[in-house]
Amino acid sequence: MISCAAIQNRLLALAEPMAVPQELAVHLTGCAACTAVQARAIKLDFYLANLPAPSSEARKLQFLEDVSAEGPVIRTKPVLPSSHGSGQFRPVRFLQRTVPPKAWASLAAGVLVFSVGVWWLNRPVERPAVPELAQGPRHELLAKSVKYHVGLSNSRTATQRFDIFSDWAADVTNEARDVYKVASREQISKLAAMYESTVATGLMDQAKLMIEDAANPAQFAGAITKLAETATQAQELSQAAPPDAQAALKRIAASADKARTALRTIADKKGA
Amino acid sequence: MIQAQAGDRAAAALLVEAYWDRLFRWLFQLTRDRHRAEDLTQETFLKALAAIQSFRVGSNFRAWLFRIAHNNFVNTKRSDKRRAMPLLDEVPPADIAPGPTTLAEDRETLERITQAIAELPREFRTALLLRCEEGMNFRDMAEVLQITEETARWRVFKARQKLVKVLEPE
Repeated sequence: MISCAAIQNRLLALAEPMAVPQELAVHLTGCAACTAVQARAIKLDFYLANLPAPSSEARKLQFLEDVSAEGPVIRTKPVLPSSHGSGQFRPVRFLQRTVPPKAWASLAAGVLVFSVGVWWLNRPVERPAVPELAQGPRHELLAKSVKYHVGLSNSRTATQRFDIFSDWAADVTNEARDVYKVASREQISKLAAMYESTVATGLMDQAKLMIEDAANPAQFAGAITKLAETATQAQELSQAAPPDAQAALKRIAASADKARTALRTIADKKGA
Repeated sequence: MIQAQAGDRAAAALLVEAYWDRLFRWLFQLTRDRHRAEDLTQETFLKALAAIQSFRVGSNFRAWLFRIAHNNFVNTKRSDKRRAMPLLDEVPPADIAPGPTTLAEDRETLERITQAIAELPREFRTALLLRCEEGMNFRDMAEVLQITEETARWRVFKARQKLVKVLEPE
């Protein structure tokens, strides 16, 4: 028999106090004290999600303007306010205190002579122009990836994130299917790596969290179907694909199949 | 992401647009100083954009970005004494939907919670806000804070344990 103190500690350690595992839910139905703690934890999370904060819109717009301006993205190194009053870099102040003025003059003369020497060795010659940063058309998968990143930031539950990763994996598969005939080995290989990462460290991790949070395993059904389709399609495509794309498509098929099997196992175990 | 890594400013701007507010909000709750939070947010993006080549496409960009922000925050904190917390009046009222409690009660509770958060050890505050304000899972929190998932869970637990007391009936 677990004590109320232990139950309350477990409640406070949950990712979301509202989504309690079965064994805690059973206890909560008959315990007013633990139910009150759960209510307070839910209320606390609600307040924390709504803490007031000022707007930073002006600073953001200024920064966006700087980022979008011509020239390198990083133009100046930001200087944070110093906690030492004068704002002067500490090693400089140390040198000023310890090095005599005459030594400074000798040093300056030495630097001047050295600079002239360096200039002479590197005097103006024809130099290649600095290449412009890439400015190609926006890629559809990039736009979707940004959308999914934003979606992940805004999501509150493992189920929401699971759905996002599932859609993301499907989009990467579609991209691979669209380009496998013309893509270089490196390009298609990157897509395969992206798919593997999205499924293995995205989708599967969220699935585990969903189970931790007592989700219904039936929620995996849609994803299992999609993964099975991906595995079959990618395997079929790899048979007739150009040699450069075959290995990558097989990797996608294997990754989808592995995730499908793992999800099925989790769902069956939980269902049983 | 691929285009941002290739140096496309428009793609970089999209990332800034998508994450600025969330990052600023978290840093503001940690520092309780708007200007400092803005400086830290800007510096985080500068560092992230400068190092964007090292970001692995397909992994979690938010966790990567918040990790840079956290390192920045910890580094500046080391050379900075604790700053005074502004009164709640200096920040706008929270956007809380009207519930059974009155607005005055909400405000008073928020004030007490804000005060209690400020009194939490920094590690607990950082973890709790990532969980409750950002909705981050323990795995991502572990990545941001460079700790284990268990430690992340434990920090959230300890922070909640202290803060629920604020909501206990008097």
